Amino acid sequence: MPHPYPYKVLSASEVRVVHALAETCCPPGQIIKTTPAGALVAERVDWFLEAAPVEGRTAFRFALLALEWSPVFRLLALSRFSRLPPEKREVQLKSWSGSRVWLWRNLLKLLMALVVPAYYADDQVSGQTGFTPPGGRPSRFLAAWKERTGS
Amino acid sequence: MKELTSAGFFEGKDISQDTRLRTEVCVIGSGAGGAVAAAELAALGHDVVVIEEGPYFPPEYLNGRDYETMRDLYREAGMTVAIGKPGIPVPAGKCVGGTTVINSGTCFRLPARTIEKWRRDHGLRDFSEESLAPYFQKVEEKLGVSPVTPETEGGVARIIRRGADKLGYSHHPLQRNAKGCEGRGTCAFGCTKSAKQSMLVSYLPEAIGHGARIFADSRAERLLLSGNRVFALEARVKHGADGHRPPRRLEVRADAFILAGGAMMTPVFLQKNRIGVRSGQVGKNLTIHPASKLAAFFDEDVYGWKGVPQGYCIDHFRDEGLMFEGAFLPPGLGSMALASLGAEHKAQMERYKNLAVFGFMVSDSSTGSIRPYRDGRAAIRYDVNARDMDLFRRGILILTEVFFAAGAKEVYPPIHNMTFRSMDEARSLLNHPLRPDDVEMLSFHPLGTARMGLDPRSSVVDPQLKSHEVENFYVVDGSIFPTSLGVNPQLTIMAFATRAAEAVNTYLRQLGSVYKAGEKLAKS
Ligand SMILES: Cc1cc2nc3c(=O)[nH]c(=O)nc-3n(C[C@H](O)[C@H](O)[C@H](O)COP(=O)(O)OP(=O)(O)OC[C@H]3O[C@@H](n4cnc5c(N)ncnc54)[C@H](O)[C@@H]3O)c2cc1C
Ligand code: SF4
Repeated sequence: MPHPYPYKVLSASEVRVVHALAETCCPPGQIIKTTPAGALVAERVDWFLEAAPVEGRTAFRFALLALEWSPVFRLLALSRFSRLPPEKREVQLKSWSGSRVWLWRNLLKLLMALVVPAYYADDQVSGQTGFTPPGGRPSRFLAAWKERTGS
Repeated sequence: MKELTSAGFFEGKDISQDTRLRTEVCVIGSGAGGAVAAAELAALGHDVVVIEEGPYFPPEYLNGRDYETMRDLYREAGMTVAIGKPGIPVPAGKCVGGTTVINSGTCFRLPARTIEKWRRDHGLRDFSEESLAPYFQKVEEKLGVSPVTPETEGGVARIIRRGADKLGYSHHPLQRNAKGCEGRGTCAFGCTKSAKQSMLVSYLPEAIGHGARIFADSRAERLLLSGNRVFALEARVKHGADGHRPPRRLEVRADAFILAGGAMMTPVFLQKNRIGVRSGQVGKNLTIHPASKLAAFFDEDVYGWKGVPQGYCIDHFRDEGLMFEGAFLPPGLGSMALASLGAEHKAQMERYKNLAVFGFMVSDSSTGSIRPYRDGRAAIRYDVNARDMDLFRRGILILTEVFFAAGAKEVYPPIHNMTFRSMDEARSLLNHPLRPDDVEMLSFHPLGTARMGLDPRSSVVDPQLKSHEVENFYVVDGSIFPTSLGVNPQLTIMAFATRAAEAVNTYLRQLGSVYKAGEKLAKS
């Protein structure tokens, strides 16, 4: 049984928002069935952020915070983003992506730019799109993950 | 522990204590400019030390994975953004080999039009197609520059050719520096076949073959001057794999110094060291070739990832300032071109094999600037002007038309929440000027921030790329160009580095006291 992944950048509540965001952006489909949790999305994002500049990390965490509380502040719901049902989360994200407000659109862009590619970074997921993972060279993330969880 | 006097690659972990080295030429940066200058000078018999801030990834460690390579080989994990209207990501490499390790391998000579402009507007009369040809030829031969083959050009090229043919636009496979390319599709994330002739597998090993020493994990920080000569460079070496141990100090004493940190970091270094600042031009005149891409779904299978991602172009509009080139990406980063989410996103990604993506870049008349943040990063400022926004609108319409002519069912322009299902729809939605914030842009070619010229009051280096202010100091990278090039710049940077190496060689020979033909300096 592997140990839980020791997150180095994200807090437990931030991990929850990343999971909720990834599930909303990339729900299981007809062919691409792997879940974001199965693709280790939050772990990959955390590993990526370890190497990101402080400003990048701060901006990402701020965006997570804004997303988490936005339904409450914008009176769309009485619940935080990560606790909303999937359909309501999708409405929330679409309201940001279609917003006339530059800030909302760009915060969402930043979140998606790190979270969605983390999902497709999993060989199984990218393989389900038909894509052949390149060159057969091992993943550095998986090596780090195995070492950190003792798997 | 490795012997620091022998030729080879060195990493931070090889430098266990503060160290002083003596050499003839110290090169800062190991990308397109630095590596070529280093190899040329080493081949001429000079002792060369290269200082590179980024890590050393041997070619067999490159794994072609987008997310991991962005994290480990891109500057600021690929999160560098030019602030302005709009905010534009400006990715660049930070590793031994510089941006050439993660670039697409496209090669163009400097266009005649651009040379003419430099001669006319900047008085750079030394330059002509003929005078530069031998330098281009030398680089092209070394790197095996040749057109993409039909076997590797891939499905997107097939579509573009079909659409462009119907519309009568000129198009062709791109020239690239790849030997034995199998079209594995990961050029921008490290070529797993070492086919792409990045500096890591070409000029740097050649430099080492001639005795050069290349220090990774070492950030050049301070130049020590005596009068108007530099006598030493101080670098900080990240020590230990995780970089958590205190950094070591590396001092390199040399007779000539070449700065090749790229157009983003070179002005930061110059401003911090107060070199070239009297011209008022350091960090100014930034051009970036702002770029964008469009995605389109087809009924046919495209398999865009099988083949060279940037293997084909439409050059019909080059004189207007628009170049169209391939831009396919693996599903992770590629999914961002669709900007969809939820069930719609999944349905689209399940048809990834039916997707074609192609891009274009604008030869910009907009300019920006770079100044250092306190922590040594580059603060980039850039606004896209109205003329360039018109080109974006035109570029989006042209590429949309090409996709529909080739049989696209849906086209996704780089404008939020927009999808075109016909050309009429595209025309009606784009019948008004676009605002910068409407369009998703990227940039891969920062240039011009330490421009060359004849007059020390309006340029940083002379046409030999020697500093106007400091006798033994040269700048040899993308920052020296006085205007945007209109084509991908790596080959031009390498040709200018080849030319500059001759000038440095002449200078060192004149210096005489240090260099005697055939005799190497005792290294320390
Ligand atoms: C994704 C991508 C794709 C591209 N595709 C193409 C293409 O197909 N064709 C093309 O022509 N161009 C392409 N380019 C651009 C091209 O690669 C660059 O223009 C070119 O490599 C720039 O060369 P340079 O020598 O100026 O800088 P770089 O190649 O960026 O090298 C600069 C090096 O200096 C190092 N450095 C900076 N500061 C310091 C310091 N203080 N101390 C020590 N080291 C330092 C950096 O870490 C870096 O390794 C692409 C760029 C990107 C990002
Ligand atoms: S397309 Fe060619 S050059 Fe690019 S990564 Fe693949 S094999 Fe290498």
